[in-house]
Amino acid sequence: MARILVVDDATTVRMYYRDVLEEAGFAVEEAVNGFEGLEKAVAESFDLILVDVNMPKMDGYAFLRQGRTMSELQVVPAVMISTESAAQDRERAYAAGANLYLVKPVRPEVLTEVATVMAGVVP
Amino acid sequence: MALVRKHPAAAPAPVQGDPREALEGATAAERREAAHRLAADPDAVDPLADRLAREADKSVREAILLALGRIGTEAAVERLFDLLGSEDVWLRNAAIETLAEMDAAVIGALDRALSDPDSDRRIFAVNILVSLRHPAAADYARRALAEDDHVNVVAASIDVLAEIGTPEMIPEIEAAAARFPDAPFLTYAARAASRRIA
Repeated sequence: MARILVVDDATTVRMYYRDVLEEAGFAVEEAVNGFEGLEKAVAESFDLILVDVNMPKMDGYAFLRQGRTMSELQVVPAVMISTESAAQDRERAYAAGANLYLVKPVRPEVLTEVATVMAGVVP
Repeated sequence: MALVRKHPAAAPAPVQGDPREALEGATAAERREAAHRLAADPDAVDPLADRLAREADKSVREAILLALGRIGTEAAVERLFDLLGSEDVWLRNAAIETLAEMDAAVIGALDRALSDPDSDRRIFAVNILVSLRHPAAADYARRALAEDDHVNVVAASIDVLAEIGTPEMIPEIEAAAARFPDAPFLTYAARAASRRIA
């Protein structure tokens, strides 16, 4: 079963991603900020990471920049999902190490399709 | 015969100089110390905030944010709210965390922040509400819930009310989600919030 790490400080967003992705057959692990995300990503293996931008303690950009320097996270696909839709936000996400940038709110069918394609495995 | 000291032992040298000048000093330690000293000066908001905008050292930035939070005046709150539009994500998040600790001082600035033309700034302002220990916080979230036309601002408001709302707010939450029929996440968030506060 493909494993997805969701890094977002909003409880409802994490619950939503979990419900949608588990319904589609993925296993989901959660982290509430970048620090916790890095800890979990190093301790466990994931097929995909969904990460928010604005979080306390460590934001999504810092999470990706640090993660991409670590052997455990260098090649794990990462989708940055943010409320910010400006072109420079998208560019900044890719520069930090994101493989895809989505703007919230994400429809369930889009989330499932992106997870299936990006994780590269059958859920 | 008692010994008389001709030259009394030197006391520790007090910190000298104008902390405003030291805030522009060459070393981070000097600037950090200046920020700590200026935390007691309500007129130091502008020099602190101006320095923060170009300060690269994280420990000095933290000291300045702490100082602005301790000063806690309307001017300090306004300068911190200005940072919600910063391109520097660390600074933006640090400003949110500082504002969230300032409680009543922040309330006066929320009208402007919740009317900001930038939806991201409005989202940040709404996110501050959840940590404010102020009875008006829920009312501001309800206002954004009812009036804002941006889906993510309404989503943030629902998230806030899931934490600080009360059962009589459930119809307002459901009505807000119904304004965005093409956003299934809002329906989900409204149901989740209603379950939590019911």
